[in-house]
Amino acid sequence: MISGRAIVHRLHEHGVSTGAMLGVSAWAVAVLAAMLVERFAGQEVTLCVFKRVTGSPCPMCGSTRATALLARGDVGAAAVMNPLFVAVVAAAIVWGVWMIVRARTARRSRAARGAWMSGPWAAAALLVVVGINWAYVLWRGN
Amino acid sequence: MSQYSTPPSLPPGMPFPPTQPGMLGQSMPHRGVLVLVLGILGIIMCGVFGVIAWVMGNRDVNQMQVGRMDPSGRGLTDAGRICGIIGTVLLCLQVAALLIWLLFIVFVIAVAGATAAGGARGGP
Repeated sequence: MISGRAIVHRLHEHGVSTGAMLGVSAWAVAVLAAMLVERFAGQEVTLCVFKRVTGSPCPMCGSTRATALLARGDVGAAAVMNPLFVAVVAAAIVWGVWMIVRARTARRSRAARGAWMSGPWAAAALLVVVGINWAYVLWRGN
Repeated sequence: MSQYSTPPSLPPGMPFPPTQPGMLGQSMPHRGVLVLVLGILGIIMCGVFGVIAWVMGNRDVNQMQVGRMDPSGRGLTDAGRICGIIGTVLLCLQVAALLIWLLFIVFVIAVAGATAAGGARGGP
């Protein structure tokens, strides 16, 4: 059994600072609050500051609704709502499982780990993915 | 006078002096550009990108300090990490504002409900 303290310690080892954990927790609280308001008051809550300021959705708009759909187990509808968000959630789950598995298995060489994310092409690929998702979100009108 | 100079003191958390990239044959290339892009996205778009930038930036700075990552990207990584911290702080402020707004709405609904109930009891 892995204790909460052990998980936090392991996250710290991987560079996940307390502030970052607080940020993720804050975001989770906001999503939960928005889901509750939407369910019980029937009012849609816009969490995105970008959308409030510009009137246009940001690349991650629709994440709250996608979270609600994921909570109901409707992965397909969540992916239609915001594909990038569902991909990020899937990657986070895979990373978490990998982090646990890696602690119990042989380690790869440090040079090999994360090397694929170096260089300007990785940032360019990220921008392309975010841009495609943004175009989709704008087209869908999230 | 001794032939050898005293080694400089190391900051806490650094077990041995930084090495040059490739010195141990294990040095990773830096991901400074990626961290910076994530950090900027975290500020101008969605705070979740900022959290990712902060985490990746922290990891990479630690790796650079112990000589496992190419230190030439330290500036980019630091900039991306700071952008990530700003994005995360903005996200937290946004959530705090949302929660205050929700509490206000709940308070208004409760007061309206109490007033309506008082009016109904006090009616003719």
